Amino acid sequence: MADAIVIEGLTKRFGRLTAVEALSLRVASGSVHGFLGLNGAGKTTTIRLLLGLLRPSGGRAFVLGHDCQRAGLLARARVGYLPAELGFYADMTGREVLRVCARLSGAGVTATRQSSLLDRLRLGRGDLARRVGEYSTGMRRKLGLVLAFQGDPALLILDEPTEGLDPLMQGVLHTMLAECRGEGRTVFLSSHVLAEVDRVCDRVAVLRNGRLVLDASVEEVRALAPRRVRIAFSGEVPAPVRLPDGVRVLAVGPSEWELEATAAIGALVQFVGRLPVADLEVSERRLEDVVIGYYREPAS
Amino acid sequence: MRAFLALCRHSGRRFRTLVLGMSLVLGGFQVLLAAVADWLQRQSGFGQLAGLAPPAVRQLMGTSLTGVLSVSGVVALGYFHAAVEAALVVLVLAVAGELADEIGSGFVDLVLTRPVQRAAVVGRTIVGVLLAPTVAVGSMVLGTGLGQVLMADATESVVSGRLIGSVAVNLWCLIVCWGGIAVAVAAFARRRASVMGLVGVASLVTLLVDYLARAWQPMDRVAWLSPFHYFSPVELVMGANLGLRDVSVLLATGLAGMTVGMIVYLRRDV
Repeated sequence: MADAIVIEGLTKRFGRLTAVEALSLRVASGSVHGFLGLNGAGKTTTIRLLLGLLRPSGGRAFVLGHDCQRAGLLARARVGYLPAELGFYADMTGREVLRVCARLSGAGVTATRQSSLLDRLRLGRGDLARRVGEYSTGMRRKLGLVLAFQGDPALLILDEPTEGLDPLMQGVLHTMLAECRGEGRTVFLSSHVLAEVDRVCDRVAVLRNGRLVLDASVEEVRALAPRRVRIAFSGEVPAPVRLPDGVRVLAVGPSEWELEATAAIGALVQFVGRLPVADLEVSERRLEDVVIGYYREPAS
Repeated sequence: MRAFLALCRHSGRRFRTLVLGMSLVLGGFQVLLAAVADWLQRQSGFGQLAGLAPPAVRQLMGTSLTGVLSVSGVVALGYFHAAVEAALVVLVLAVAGELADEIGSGFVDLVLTRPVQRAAVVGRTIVGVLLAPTVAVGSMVLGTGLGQVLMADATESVVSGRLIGSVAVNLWCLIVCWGGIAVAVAAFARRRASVMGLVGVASLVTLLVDYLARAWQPMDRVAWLSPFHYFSPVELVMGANLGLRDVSVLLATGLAGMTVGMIVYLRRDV
């Protein structure tokens, strides 16, 4: 299947500032692709370039096979977008916002689809009759999600989708994203919540200072994560002199060791097998333990 | 076309109160002026008013003072009163400023990330800039007509439709000219306040330049730069024909502004 997003050497400069530099990335159709980076890394700029809101200083980008600049209209007809900051007019009601955006959408927005989304995200008639200026952050986000999903788009571009949502609604959104993947839709998701990315994404790309520093599957990244191993002994044991390769000491007590394993822990299990082990606890590999490292500037 | 119509409808809803409210006030003002002109005519008050004018004003205005202090002059006053001109300029600035306001508020993200051409967004604003003064000036003409039907002495006080038509067309062209300039500025801006501030100050300065040029010869060299230079209501009241040059300059300036606005908006980052 063709890639839903193809970015080739994309660069965006604002005066002297280079927000995105020579970015090349592919997002496979039917996948959920996380797009990560610190504030100012260039995530939102990249998304705005994909949507034709910004003009690139160099490079090209294709969305669903269409050049974002030359055939942006065709591309955007099948894209649902949730911006990080929702620019609703405060004096418009939720219902008016939905009506205007449905009229502007290329794909037909059916009343059934819209009302199903409103039900799932718990936006009632009373909420829609209120002015958007009176909405809480979470309600604005929910309205934005309905706008993004209501056209049944082939590609969803979501910028911080769970920002301001309560845990219940975050769960609903995660289910909706899983359904999208199941239906063969593509999701390109920018988020600061690494646990969420770990849970819903197939692949992640990390930007640092406008440059791509990591693009790999979540499984591959997770495999790089160190695991914490806590070993409790039934009596006092001497401090370890030499541990197996890929294992290092974090803390050592008379009857408890705390270790970090970057390699498979088979050798470690063998190593402690001759000691009076009372309990052994191994933490899960977490995406964020690796990704945080990519966020940091490399030591000069 | 579908998106363009949807945008027109959306903006129409946002501006209908402002446009209709202002049109009602300006139309009402015209009815009032017709009543005042009728009353002055019946009281033979125009001559007394002319006598009250200070000598300096009489010298400055010359024969045009008699023209202004007449039924036609008072009825037409609503079309060249500074407050009316200011209100109409503010109206088109508010409409044109929507282009910038949508960027500043982020609403444009919801519009342009859908299959909507940028030309449709600017086109909608241009329609607004043409339509808002049409409704407002149209309401003034209706007010004038209504005022004359209700108040005027049928034999003496009826002002010719040609005069009212000429003054109204000249005023409409002036406001459309400022609308075009505002569209050009709005296409660069991110906030409506910037558009209103910048173009508002420009209109005030050029109005002063035009006034000064009428009284002070050296200013005449730069007066041609002011759009108000091509708005000649007093001359029309005195019997002159609406100048094709005036209309052409105002409309061409407005059109140039709209074209610049379109080109800039099609290329800019939002």
